[in-house]
Formats: sequence, structure tokens, C-alpha cells
Amino acid sequence: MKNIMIVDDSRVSRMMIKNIVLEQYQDWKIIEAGNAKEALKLCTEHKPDYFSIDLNMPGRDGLELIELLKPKFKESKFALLTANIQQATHEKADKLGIQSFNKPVTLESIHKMLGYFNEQN
Amino acid sequence: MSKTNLLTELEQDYLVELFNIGIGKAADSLSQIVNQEIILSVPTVEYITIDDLNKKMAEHQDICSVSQSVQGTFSANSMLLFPEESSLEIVKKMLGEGYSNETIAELHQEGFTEIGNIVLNACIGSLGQSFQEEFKVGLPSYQIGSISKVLQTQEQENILFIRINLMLSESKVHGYLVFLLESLSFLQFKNMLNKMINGLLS
Repeated sequence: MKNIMIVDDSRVSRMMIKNIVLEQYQDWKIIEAGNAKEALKLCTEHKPDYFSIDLNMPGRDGLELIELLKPKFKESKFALLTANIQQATHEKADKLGIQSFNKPVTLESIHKMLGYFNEQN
Repeated sequence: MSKTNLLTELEQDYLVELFNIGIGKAADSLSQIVNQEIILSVPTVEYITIDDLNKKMAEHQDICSVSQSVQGTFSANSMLLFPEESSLEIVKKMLGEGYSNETIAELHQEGFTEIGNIVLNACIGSLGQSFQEEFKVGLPSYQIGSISKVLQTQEQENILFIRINLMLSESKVHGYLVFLLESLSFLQFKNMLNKMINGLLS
């Protein structure tokens, strides 16, 4: 069983990601956060194995959040799931050593992300 | 905006081409969300006063809009507009089967905001690639109401208005993608277009 944290200010996106993840992995525990502050609070309690993080959110953005989380969760895998398809965004994600995936949330985009989570380190 | 500052035929032609590519990306994203083909119009570019813009768009009663600011060498406001009924239909398509009308109505605002966020970012991202520039994109802002309410702008004089009609091929619902550029940004925008055109022609 794995823990996955979904951080996205859009409730609809969180709901769609959650449904697709649970279709494939019924026993995974899903932790939802609507912004960076909430994520930082919840992750100490739940220690997620995987993080799916949106970029554009009120308050700290997804990349800033990942910078804060990575040193604390060295074994976890991070994915930036974003509508911002600009090359510069992907380059920033690369610099942080994380994988980015383009929205919209579809079976294909989430399966790609899950494939990345399941890759051996 | 004085007449001398308007776009030349070549600039306008190139601008339409850039938006064609951008809207292609946006339509691809929207198509993935609603699982059907999106039929696009050729972008129309107009210089228009805010009053005329309101009149032009006044055919619809209540409009749902998602807008996002675009900041770079120039600033613009990007908007996705759908009549209220159509926006509900799109959210319904996005969520898929198995949701009651009450749930769809409850999720309407958040769902449509996210759709706007994805579609506008796809188009802006493509424009950023064409301009070789990173644009800062603001958080999506949702509004519903008359066209004059959702199309508010600081500028009282002419604005550059780029409109693309979107139609969902099966659901037959229409919407618009709109970019508004005010005078100051228009000049910077024109300079950027010229640099690119000169680069292509040299």
C-alpha cells in the first residue's frame, strides 16, 4: 500500500486524479490538499510516498512547495501536474530533478504519472 | 490607439498564424477534456472600443468567463467565454458519467475555472514558444454575468481584440477565446511581431 498526496487548488482536478488513481490502486491512501500550506501540514502526519502537485495555486506555487518538501521526503517521488505547458516550466521542474506532466487530467496523463511513480529508482 | 499604430497586413497575417497554432493546442486540451472534436474559426483581429465590444458580444445573456492575466514583454488579458448553459454542458462532459445534476451544478464554477486554466495556458504556452519568451500567467478568475460585467477593462479607448470561436462538434455548444491588449502593450506587442517577421524574412 502506498500513500499519495494530491495538491491542487481545483477540487474537480483532485477528484478526477483521485478517481483514476483508485481505479488502478484500490488500496492506495489518498491525501488531498488544496494549497501548499495545507500540504505542508498534512504531509508530516501521512508521509506520502508520492506527490502529485499542481503549479499555479494561490500562495506558494507548486515548484516552491516541492523545494520545501524534497529535503524532508528524500525517498518520495514528486510529479508536477500543470496546465502551464511552457518549456520554461518544464526546465524548472528538470532543475529540481522532478518530472512534469501536462494537464488536462485524463486517463493517459495520470497513467503516465503513475508509471513514473512505479519506475525503480 | 492611433491609426498609424495599427497592425500592417503582414503583421496581422503573422499574428493570426501564431494564434492559429496557439488555439490548436488549446483545442487539443479541450478536446481531451470533453472527448470530442473542437471546431475552430480562424482568429479575427479587431481594434474596437470597449462599448462596441460589449455590443458585439451582447447576443448572449449570461456568460461564464475564466480570465487569466499574461505578463511578459507585453501584458494581456486572456479569457475563455461560454454561455452559461454551454459551460454546464462542458463541465458535465469533463466529469463523465455518473454525476447528478445537483453535483454538476455544485462543481460548475470550480470545473469551469479549471477548464479555463487548462485551455488558456495551452494557448499562452504555445504563444510563449513562438515568441521565445516565458509569460507569467495569473491565477484563473471566474465570473458569470452580462458580457459588460465579464469584459471589464481599464482601457476606455481602443483595444486589440482577438477572438476565436470554438464549437464542440457533438454537443454543438459555442464559446470564445479572447485576448485583450491595451494600448501600451499593443506597441510592445507590435514590436515583437516585427522582430519575428524580420527574423523570418532575413
